[in-house]
Amino acid sequence: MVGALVAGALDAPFWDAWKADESFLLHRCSTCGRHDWPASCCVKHGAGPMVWVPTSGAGVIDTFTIFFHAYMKELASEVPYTVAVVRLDEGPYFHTRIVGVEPQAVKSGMRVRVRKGQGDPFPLFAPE
Amino acid sequence: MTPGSVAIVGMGVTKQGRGLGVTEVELRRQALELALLDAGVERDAIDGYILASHEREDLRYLGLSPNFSWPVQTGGATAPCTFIMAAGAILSGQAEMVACAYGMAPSSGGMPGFGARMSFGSLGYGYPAQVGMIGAASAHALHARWHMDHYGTTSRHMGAVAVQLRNHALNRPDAMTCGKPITLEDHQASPMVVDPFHMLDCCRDTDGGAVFLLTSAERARTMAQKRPVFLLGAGMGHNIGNWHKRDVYAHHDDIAPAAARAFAQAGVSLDDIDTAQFYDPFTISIIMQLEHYGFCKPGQGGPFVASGGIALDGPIPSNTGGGQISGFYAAGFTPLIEAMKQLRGESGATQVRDARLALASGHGLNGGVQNTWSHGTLILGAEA
Repeated sequence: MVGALVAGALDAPFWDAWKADESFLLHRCSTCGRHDWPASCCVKHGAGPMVWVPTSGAGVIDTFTIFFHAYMKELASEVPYTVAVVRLDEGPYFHTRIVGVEPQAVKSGMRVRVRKGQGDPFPLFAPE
Repeated sequence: MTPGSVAIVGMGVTKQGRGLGVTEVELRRQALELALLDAGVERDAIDGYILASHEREDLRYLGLSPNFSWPVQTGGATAPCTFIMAAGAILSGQAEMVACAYGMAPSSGGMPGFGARMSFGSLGYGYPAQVGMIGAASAHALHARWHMDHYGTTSRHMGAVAVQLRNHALNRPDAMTCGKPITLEDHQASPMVVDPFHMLDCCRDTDGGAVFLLTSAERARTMAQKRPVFLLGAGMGHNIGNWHKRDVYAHHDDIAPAAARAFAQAGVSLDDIDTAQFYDPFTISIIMQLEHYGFCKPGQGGPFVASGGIALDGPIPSNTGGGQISGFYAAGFTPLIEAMKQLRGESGATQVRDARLALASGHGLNGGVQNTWSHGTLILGAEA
């Protein structure tokens, strides 16, 4: 996390659920079942059928990058750190930091799951 | 658009460099004077003004009296977008002579009178910035890593791009790195910025201005300008469609619709293009554009460049001024400036012999979680 969390107003249900009990919600179209994140219109069915639903919080690393410099002072102790785009099992991409594994050991295709119990203000992911 | 119905009759390019300490509006004024001189017209000929980004003071300070002033901001794709808007204004009878203007001074940030230190790359990344994803290099690194993992592209392939661009810049006095050669080993030894990019995979912000004057081809033929360049085709695409399809990282941009429209308008094929000038903030950008335009097969961009594919004597001489990485970073105007120079025979040491058709691309305005950019393609010709 860098500084205070800035949560988009449209995503309030996601952040409220994460803060309350670390539930990991996605925005789902109840007509076709497509999941999205953050808050979205279904590309086929618009905003009407979109509801926030609990999901697995798991997926695979689609791609990633490793930071060797702390561009913000809050992250100085984390360098080097990995930012990955996780392809969640329900479909959407999710940008996060990968924890619990050395950056050199991170691989595309690695299965990861949202870390719970650490009080992370922003959901971080670790290898399953 | 009828191919060749719009012409670029004036080009003004100021000094481009690090920390020039010249304000942005003054850079645009200097570029305007050069463009007017180049076109052989007076200020009052300008009846339309299109500005990359937005600013309220330009018309007053530049002494212009056009009928409209349009801001446009789609990041590094703004440059081709200004030409498309100018063509629209000319062909719909709203203007006869449109100035497309750019002037930025990001590397003077922090100087007295220049406000806070800033960078093009650190703005607007939303949620990813909150987990420490800062800057444009990391946004492109995600594509580079995908390409490496999917196709076997290596850091040395990207290094081959860096070395080729530097070789182009070596004898170009208008390039930041003129006279400063690098080797593949220098690339490999340069510090890591964000994996997989070394420092020599990345461009640096520079200050500079550029103004182009566009008019109808009909009027261009009556003007003093002896080397008008013609807008033959244009198209745009946006990679947000691939976000919705969940296929972002295989695509640098959505080039297909931009290229299809531009080539169809121009009535030419890829083989007809004499030189390509790609938007190239990072080495991977050239590799992926070569593939997506079809200059080489998918996944073969690295080996293509390493075997001389974009060299002056290669199949498609590209980024002949050193591009953004070894030339200068004037956003999408860097490739446009070099395409114009090639077609006017002004590229000096890296002039492509008998360059008649040039492709120029723009790419920009990422933000938020989607990591997708707008893309613009222009096909410019020495003849209508």
